[in-house]
Amino acid sequence: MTKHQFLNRFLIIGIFFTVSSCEPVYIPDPIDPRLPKYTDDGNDVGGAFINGSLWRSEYFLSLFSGTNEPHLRYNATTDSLSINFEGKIGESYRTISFGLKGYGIKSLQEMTKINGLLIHFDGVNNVATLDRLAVDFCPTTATGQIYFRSVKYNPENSFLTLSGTFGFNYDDPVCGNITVNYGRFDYSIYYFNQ
Amino acid sequence: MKIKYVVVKNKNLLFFVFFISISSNGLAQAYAFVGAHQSYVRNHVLTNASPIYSWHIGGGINLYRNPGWKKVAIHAESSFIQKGYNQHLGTEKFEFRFTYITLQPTLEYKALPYLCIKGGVNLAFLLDTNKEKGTQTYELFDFGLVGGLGFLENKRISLYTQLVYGLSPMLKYYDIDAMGNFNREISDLKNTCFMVGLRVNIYDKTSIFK
Repeated sequence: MTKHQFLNRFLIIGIFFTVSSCEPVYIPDPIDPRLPKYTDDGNDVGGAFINGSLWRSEYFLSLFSGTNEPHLRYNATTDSLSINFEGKIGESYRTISFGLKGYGIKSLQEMTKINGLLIHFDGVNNVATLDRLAVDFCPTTATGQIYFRSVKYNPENSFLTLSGTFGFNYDDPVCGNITVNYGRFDYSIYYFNQ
Repeated sequence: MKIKYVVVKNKNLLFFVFFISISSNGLAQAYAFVGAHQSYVRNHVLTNASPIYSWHIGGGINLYRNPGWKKVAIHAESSFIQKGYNQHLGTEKFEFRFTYITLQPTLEYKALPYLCIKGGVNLAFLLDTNKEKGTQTYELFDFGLVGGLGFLENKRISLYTQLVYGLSPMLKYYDIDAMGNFNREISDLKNTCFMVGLRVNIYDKTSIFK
């Protein structure tokens, strides 16, 4: 085996492990296997029913890695945090988004402030919404809740494990009557945008 | 850690039961068996669940302790068995299969020249499932009662039928409502298994049924 062949094989194995180590771990819920089981291990999965149709987190695979990591973004002007879970219903993309105001979360480490919190949506400070390819945004006046059951920061590897459940609904003349229920999420998060 | 402790503790119990069995008066029969079964889980949480049909294979020894009680025998059996259930949700069918290794000490009574009645306990350890991380989702130890009939056990090939009625819950999980509230912890899903099969005597030195 030449030196080049050896290096090529080493590179291929390296890429394989890089990609495979990021893949989500889908453990079916033992009561309704269409949904992921509730876990708090950072399995990188989310699921819910939107008007009875299954929504599941989408895993995006690129050349060297894959991700379905939710987007966390902090706005210092309004002291607000947005959390976006990207996923699909069948072949159509849907993003479930949450906005939380006044929690003073400016970094990934500070996300642990919401550990164990059950937050009810009020349409003003705490909001939930659903959008399709960021084209038509539905109103943020949903009623319901999000429960951050386990939020743990791992200082050694600098990532956050974010796990919980959610459910909300709203009735809008444009978007219609939307019910999102049996929502659950369990992600490992490495990035925090400011 | 707690699950590991329970498994180790129960393994010790199994070895103890097995040791007591083989240290009794004498080996009478050794046999192998293979059969089919219908498996289902009794539960309060599953929607549209139905039984599965699968197979089992194993072996056993037939012992008796007291020569004065010639109609009574003690059995110790071990088998590999696949239990589970199907679930139909919407247009999808989900199949749940659990592979166990079992140890089954039973007491057998010869009611008629061609008919034996047996009863005992069924101890099962979960080896594998067809679901991702299934051994972390479901309980590793399963305990149940067993009752059954054996036909023509004095012959080289005989028939048997038995019912295993699980008593310990397979699943410990949460009752999560539509809004995401964790209402309570649930302990549910109990195995029920109806088995039929063929038994072949492979060693028959002092059979009490001759």
